[in-house]
Amino acid sequence: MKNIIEKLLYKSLDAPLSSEETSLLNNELKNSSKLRAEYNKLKEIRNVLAESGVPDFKPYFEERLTDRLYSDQKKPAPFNALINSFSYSFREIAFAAIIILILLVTYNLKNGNIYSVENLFGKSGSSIEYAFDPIQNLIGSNNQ
Amino acid sequence: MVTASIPDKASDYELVKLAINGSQYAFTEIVRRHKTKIASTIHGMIGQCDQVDDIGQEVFIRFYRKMTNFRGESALGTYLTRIAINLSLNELKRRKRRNIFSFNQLVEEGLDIADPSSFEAPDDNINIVRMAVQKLDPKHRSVIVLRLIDGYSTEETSKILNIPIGTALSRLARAQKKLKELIKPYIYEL
Repeated sequence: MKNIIEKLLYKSLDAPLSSEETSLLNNELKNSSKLRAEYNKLKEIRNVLAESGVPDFKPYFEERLTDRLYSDQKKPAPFNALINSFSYSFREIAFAAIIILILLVTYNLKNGNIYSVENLFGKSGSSIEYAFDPIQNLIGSNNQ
Repeated sequence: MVTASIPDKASDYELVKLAINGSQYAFTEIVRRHKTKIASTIHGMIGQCDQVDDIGQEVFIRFYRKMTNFRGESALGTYLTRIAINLSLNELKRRKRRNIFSFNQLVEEGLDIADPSSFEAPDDNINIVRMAVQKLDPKHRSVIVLRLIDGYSTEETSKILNIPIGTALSRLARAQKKLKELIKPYIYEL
């Protein structure tokens, strides 16, 4: 019985009680000074907790937060930074390779008599597969 | 960056939508409205220390990065408080791991008050109760902080912690009993 009353006492502070529970608890509170003291002690602890006004964050919280947020946004993520550095390095190599290819193709076209894929890459008597497949190309050159 | 003026009575949800669209002002307004309660939650959970500010910043940064996930189904304050509780619990776990390798465990029981008679002013009751809250284990501490310090209803507390109301009530009862035991030697008049 004591446990039930104690549970009701705690519950009454945080949740609504049924009418039966309320009348049971009220009767016990009327008759037991110990229970009343317990109830008052609980209420006081709760009041102290509710009044324990908490200090705010350190000054200029919003400003510091905004600075951090927007400076984080400006910094690229580590993986993205790696991709960016690679793409920047390879961009120059790719650009050089394209120029060499154009020069080579122009040279071959200028020197060749026939306009064909073979001539584009300085090959003669080889198909387009040979031009792009080194193994086929090796077999072809051995046969010749 | 959108810097258009924002009406004072704009709802939290409206502010979030504006912030998603790039309004820095709207985001700052969200921070301004909720920072005190978030500070209270974190302070209650981890005590007064430098990490309170760091965790507070982290709460808003996490929210900023996942703002688009906020659908307004729960109040923004509740949503932010949930992040604050989770980050505070992570900090408490980190501290626990650190304490395993130190002697701090030895002073876990009871309050660290060298001279109880030095507490006389009414404000000292607040300090003693705060110290006692820090001695509760995290699951009991979180219900006390949310329900009794931050003033959330029992239902809101259970939603923030993702536990049934019955569990929240039993944790509250157990936590208050433990608090009473802890402060008994220091605050006789309570």
